[in-house]
Amino acid sequence: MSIDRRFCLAGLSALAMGGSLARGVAQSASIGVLAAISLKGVLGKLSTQWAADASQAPLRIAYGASNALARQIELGAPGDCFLSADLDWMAYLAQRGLLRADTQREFAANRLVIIALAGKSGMLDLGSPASIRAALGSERLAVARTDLVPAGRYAREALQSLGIWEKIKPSLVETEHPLAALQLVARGEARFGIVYRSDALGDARVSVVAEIPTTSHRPIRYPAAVLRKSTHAQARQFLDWLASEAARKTLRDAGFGLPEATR
Amino acid sequence: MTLTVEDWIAIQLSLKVALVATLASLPFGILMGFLLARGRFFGKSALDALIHLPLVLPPVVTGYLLLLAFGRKGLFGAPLEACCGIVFSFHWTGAALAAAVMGFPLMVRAIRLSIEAVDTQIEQAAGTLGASPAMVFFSVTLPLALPGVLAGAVLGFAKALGEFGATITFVASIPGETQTIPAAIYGYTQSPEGESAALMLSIVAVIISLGALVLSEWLARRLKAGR
Repeated sequence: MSIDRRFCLAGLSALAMGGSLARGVAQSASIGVLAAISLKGVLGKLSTQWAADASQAPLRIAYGASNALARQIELGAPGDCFLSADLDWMAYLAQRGLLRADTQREFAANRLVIIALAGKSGMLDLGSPASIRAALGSERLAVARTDLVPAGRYAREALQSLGIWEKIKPSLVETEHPLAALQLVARGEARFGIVYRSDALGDARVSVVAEIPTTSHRPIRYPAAVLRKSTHAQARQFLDWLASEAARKTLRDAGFGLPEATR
Repeated sequence: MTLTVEDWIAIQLSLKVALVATLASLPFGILMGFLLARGRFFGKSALDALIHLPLVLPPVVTGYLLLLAFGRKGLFGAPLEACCGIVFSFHWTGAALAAAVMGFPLMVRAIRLSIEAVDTQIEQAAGTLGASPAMVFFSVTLPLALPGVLAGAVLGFAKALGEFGATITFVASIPGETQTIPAAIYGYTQSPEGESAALMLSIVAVIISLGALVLSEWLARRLKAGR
């Protein structure tokens, strides 16, 4: 009985301590970042770089498709910054007053490429739509959801302006985000995939078989902003740091472009 | 608030996938239920554990293992495609396979319990009257265990209807091919404009699931009354 009680007390106080610790760490120490999943590789590196300076709070990053993150933010997900893969979802939150408008800026750019399993395919000629259709055969082209996810929307625009959207639509397999599309190609489930150039460069299992002309879709730009509900003093500082020479080098090395103004 | 054409396609597909999954796995379910109830053999507990694995594994793990086994480049998937043209990846048959695997433990559990409840003396009596073991099974054991077999089939069907994690991992979510009701609902929840559509389809899912449960209750009562 007394042992039980002691255990209970110990357990409770441990819980209480753990709770307050967790709260302390989660809410005041680290900066909560909600980031487009195409930033996954590079943001990991940037996070290490940023936190190397001990005076700067470490990042706590949650990745997802920008549309899913925008929706989570709308529903009250905790966090300090949002890094989106297109301007639309940023605007969506801005319209609803969920961002600090004066903190919004662009920090990166990207391109679309068509990928195939490494070494399994020659280059595709985007000039002749029939060749893509022929190369695809009865197999699938993986792409992020073309109705919601930024990478998928850009891809749809590109296919439309190349005049092959209607022909290729029945062969699409639409995924939750571009990395899932890349996975399908890397596993050999889908013949081709349309993903960001940075995604393709970050994975040796796939190779680029065509670069999609940047003129065929809206420019791919990554905006960032501090969330209205953020209380972290360093959230804005982190976004400013993304424009620093060190951060820009990391972005460039990972295959990202830089926003025109700072190029 | 009405159901779109895509919603109806998802509903139809869900019913087809769950029905095929249930019917195709039922013979195996009966066999496994019988083996586990009456069999005495080496490795029985290992077989038992294997059958129950999808019940306790995270569904995404089951889906991933299915992908490794039956994907285009999978252990069995590649030879199956080469020899007989059977393709699971991105195909509704893949969704049915995932649903069958996920529903199998529930089905086997119910069947096993009902076979265990059959009085072995009746089976022995049939045996002394000259019935072969197969005849005993089909004319005595199976009819007596029928309520449990039906309950198992309905449970398997309900589970198959609701299957999501393994399916989306294994065959993604392609409208008209692998996008079942849960996958369509999940798709809607990703979209800010999808709120009412998600709600509508959820109501449909509740109605179908309730219907399946009521049907199984009714069947069980009919069978009991008929005895």
